[in-house]
Amino acid sequence: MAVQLLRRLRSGGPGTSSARHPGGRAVTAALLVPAIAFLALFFFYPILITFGTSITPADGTGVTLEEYSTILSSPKDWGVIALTLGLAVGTTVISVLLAVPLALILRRRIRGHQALRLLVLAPLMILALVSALGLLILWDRNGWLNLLFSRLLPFSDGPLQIDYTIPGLLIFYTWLYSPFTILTTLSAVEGIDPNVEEAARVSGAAPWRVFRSVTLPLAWPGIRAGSVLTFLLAFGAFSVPLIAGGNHRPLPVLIYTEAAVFQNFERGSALAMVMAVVALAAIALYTRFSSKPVRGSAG
Amino acid sequence: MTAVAVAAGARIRPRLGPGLSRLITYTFLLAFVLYVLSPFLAILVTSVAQDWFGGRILPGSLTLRWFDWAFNVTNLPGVMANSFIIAGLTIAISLVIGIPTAWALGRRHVRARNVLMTLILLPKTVPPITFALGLSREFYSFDLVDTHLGVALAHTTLALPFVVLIMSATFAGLDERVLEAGRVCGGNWFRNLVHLVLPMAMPGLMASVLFTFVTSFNEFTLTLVTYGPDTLTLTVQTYLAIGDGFLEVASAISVVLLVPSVILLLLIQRQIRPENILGGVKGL
Repeated sequence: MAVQLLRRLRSGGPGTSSARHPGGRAVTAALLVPAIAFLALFFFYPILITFGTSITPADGTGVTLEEYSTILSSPKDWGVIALTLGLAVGTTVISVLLAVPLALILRRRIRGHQALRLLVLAPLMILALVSALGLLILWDRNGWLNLLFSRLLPFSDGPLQIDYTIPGLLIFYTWLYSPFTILTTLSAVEGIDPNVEEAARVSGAAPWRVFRSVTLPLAWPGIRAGSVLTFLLAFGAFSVPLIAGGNHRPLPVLIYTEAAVFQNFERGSALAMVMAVVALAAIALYTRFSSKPVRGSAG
Repeated sequence: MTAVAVAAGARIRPRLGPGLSRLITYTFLLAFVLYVLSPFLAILVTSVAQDWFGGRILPGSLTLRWFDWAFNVTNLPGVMANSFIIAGLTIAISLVIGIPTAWALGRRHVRARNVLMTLILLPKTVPPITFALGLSREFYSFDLVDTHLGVALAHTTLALPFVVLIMSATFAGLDERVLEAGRVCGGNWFRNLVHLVLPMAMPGLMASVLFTFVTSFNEFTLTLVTYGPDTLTLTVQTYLAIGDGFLEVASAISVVLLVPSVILLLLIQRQIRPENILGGVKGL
């Protein structure tokens, strides 16, 4: 047995092609085929269908780009794209502003920090519709928050309208999608060696400067990774604006309404294609421009 | 001066500063806790509320009528069975398809691995609504609409990327020396699989199962475009109840929906590090 072991070790041990790849390329390909075939059939093909529908005229013959030119020349549709992007960017910014102080507090392992960590996870595990319903009831004109405000601010005129407004949607989106940013920020902040910050402090840096020049740049990759997810989910949010958006219809709601309610599959499909392109472009831009650490890291 | 001394004294684990900063910290934390928890409270109270009209902080009286409605009028047990059947099918399909691919990506030489991984993760990158319309049309031509298998296949598009991602990382991290020892000691591939690979891959497998379940159980967009009367799931039923304006019944259904999520949340906190699950969760 020892001889066998020795022979294996001499032949390169783990990692050589003979030991790691019994059967070679054919087996590798066979292992990869199921997943690729599945996604081709149920992801890429549907996208192709959607694209095909979007360039087919209503009478079903020929090719047309009419739906796209309608969208691109319609201020209303541009408004919808702007609204969708604006909500996603707003949610991402608020999430980062929430995540950084929360992470800085939780890293200190104050009493009850484990319960707080569990709480951060909660919105991830719950159906978006359920939380949207809860938030709608909570922020209702007769809801608890308005009752609270009316007692605290007796001079205010009438209940605040939060549900079905853009600030309301931002509150809802942040509730739903900030955990992604919070979790990665927390794990990045906890990965920082406290001695590095201590060194900056001992060298005479003020707390704010330590934060700006040491903590934030070191935590940035984590903040970035999570905020991309927050951005993506907020950009694609469908069920929440569907029930809580009122007159504000971001792209997913508009796509669904056009296709399912007005039976205008051509327009719905064209909008879906526009949305996919905007999503991929936004991610490419985001990863490109956020790869540099924040300003002041060199200082 | 004292502040400096305090700061310098707590090197590894800085304590919260006294006074104002502590007040700000705890106010912030309290606000965060209330922000996260209050929607659940609102749903819980609404689900048993009666005579809860303008200006009242708590309902006039309590009732179980909405749960009764949810169970009898909206056929909650049947709907719940649909949700579980579809989630079970999604888990089975995702694992059967995803594990071989994950093994290849994690342990074998694959050319263009990064391109392949990007393609496999693409369904999680673009919002589901962008391929939902095409999927719905495809399902109509394949007669897959309103079948449990069809809805599960739709959910698998979102679960599969996660299973491949997690399992390939798990397989790549298997200890080569242990596998080698198994081979050298004369174990055949099946024995090695059952006694070595399976136990070592168990955490990844658990994570895959849990999150495939959550993905399917909570998926809304792709269910909405593929469901029918026989495959009504809890998510769609909640949506229909909200759309009809029955907020109390919708709250009652939501409370039922919360139960598996809370159980999973507790399981996950014990078993899996939260950072590992990102990207796997959440239907839109």
